[in-house]
Amino acid sequence: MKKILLLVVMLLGSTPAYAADKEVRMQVLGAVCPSCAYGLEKKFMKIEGVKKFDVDFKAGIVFICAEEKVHFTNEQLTQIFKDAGYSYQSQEEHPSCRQKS
Amino acid sequence: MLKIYLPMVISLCVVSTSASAHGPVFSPGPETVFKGGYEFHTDIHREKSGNEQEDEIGTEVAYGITADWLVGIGAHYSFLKEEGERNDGFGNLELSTKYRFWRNDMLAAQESLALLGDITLDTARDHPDPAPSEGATDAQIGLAYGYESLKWQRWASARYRYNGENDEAVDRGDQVFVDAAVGYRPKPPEYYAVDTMWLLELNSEFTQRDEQAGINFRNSGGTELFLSPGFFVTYRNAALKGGVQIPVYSDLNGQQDASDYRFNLVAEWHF
Repeated sequence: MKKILLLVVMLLGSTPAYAADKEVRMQVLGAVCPSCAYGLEKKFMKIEGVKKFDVDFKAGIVFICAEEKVHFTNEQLTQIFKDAGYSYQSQEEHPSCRQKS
Repeated sequence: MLKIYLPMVISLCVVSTSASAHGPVFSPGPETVFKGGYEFHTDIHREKSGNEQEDEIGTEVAYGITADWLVGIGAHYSFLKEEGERNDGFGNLELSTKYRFWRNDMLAAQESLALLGDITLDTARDHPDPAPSEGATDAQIGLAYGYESLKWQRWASARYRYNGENDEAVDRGDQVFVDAAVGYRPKPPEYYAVDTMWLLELNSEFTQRDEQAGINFRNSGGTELFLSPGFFVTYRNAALKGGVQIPVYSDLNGQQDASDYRFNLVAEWHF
């Protein structure tokens, strides 16, 4: 019983932190292999407030889960993708992060 | 003496600098690393022809000056065995560069062209028998094309290698390499999953005769063609790739042992 209570308390405690996160989805051209996309992961994970990184290669979308305060300008993203060897197209924000990875 | 030299000459040609995890095993691709990124690569290479066998352990570090421009430095240690005799030692230092001058980024695909260049310096000094390249600086230029999609990939490259004149005034024959490769990925890639690809390469090598004071060496130069199945497996920034070169055509001048096989296994990290 104590274990269950502890689990409930932990879950309740952790929920508000994730609720404040958002997802940024970036459309990209040229992303086709996981090992090549590592440069993107490295560049995004260096940014304060960025928590998770993933890529849907078929859809050409890079997913970033980040704190609400994180904002990217198109100029910033163009440069990040250029330095990683890809072409940035557009971005859109979603209020919550995907569960995957 | 030439018998001892021959595999070393060949080895200088087939150990490719400007490596990349996502390219073919025995020929260069146009792939680079991200700006500010490092590529650390180590490989085991074996080649056998007749009674001669050479094993090499090589290593290379490359740096991405931009996402399209890579510079690298590499070295190897070779273990040469011929009819019971051994001749081991460090090979020459190699400096390499790759510049991807054209890139076509598409949805779930990328196509690119790169210029390649490398210089093999005259640094090997501790072989009991001096290598034929001693006293010579060699240079190579080339062009590499690559197309990568989620399932199929294709590559092609052409290189010209200038082999310098050595301390014994032997002008070693220059070489031309022409390669083509296809890759098949059986499962669509996911970022947090192992990515596997099967490769098949066709590698051709054309070598001019060696020459000294205007006289050609009879037992030097010729043409060899290889069919090379291979694979690569990557997980995020780590890669393992390997393959075997199987000779399918050989037209070597004079009396020379044709290649039996060559083998390459490469481990690579990006960071």
